[in-house]
Amino acid sequence: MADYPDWTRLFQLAGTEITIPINIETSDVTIPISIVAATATVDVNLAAQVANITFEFADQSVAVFDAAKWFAHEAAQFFVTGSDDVGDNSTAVLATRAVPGNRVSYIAGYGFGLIEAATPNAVHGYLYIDEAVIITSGSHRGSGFIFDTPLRATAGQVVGVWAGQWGSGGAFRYRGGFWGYDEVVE
Amino acid sequence: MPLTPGQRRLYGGGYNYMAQARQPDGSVVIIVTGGKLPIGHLMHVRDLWGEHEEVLYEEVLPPGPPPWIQDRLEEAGRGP
Repeated sequence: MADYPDWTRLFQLAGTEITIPINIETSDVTIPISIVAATATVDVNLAAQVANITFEFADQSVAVFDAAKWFAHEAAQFFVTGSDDVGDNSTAVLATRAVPGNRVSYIAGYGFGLIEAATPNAVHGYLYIDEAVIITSGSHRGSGFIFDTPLRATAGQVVGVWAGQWGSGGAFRYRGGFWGYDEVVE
Repeated sequence: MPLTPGQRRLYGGGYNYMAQARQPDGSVVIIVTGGKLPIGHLMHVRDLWGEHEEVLYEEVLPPGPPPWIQDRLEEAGRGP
């Protein structure tokens, strides 16, 4: 195969109706796209009233990850759990995390619960970012949620979970936490 | 005061899992694992994330499974 050390071919097409058909009928086709670069940017820009993009995967080796699973695949997921004794008619912090440097943290869920035999009238959990309570939930024992839209926290912000209980008659141990994934930003 | 290796891991993000246990005096015992480092860090921290954060104790947790499980993995021919 020929070597083109400094080769550029510009396809610049201007027209009212351009069609570039690529029809391949064969028993075996391979279209390798190999990009080796310090920085690779592949932009696909579609501006159309109707855009149909169809990906059909018929090979069992193909895997498509949603964001949360992809970040776990890349070992960028985090799970933070913690425990504390919560007094009657009181609250306590269970787990906290400062978002590490150069990261944006996407919190995908949280949960908490009473881990002792007790029967409080009500327990509440609070997920907060810095000083702001973002999510509140409650029941008689605990609760948990997976967020349809992840919460976003930036480097240096402290994310945490409180728990509170009422009418238990004493201090009891609670455990709770939150989870998600970090995106590295430069 | 320079950061300890465990604190560098906390603030650098080189972990996937963090477990905390609040102590009666408000300090926190933390274990961080996962990420690129095979080892874990156990820390006892006062004023966690606070202005006067102080690591009272720090210990490195060895990597890999316990020796008896490692022995069985090797005997089964499926070492990590």
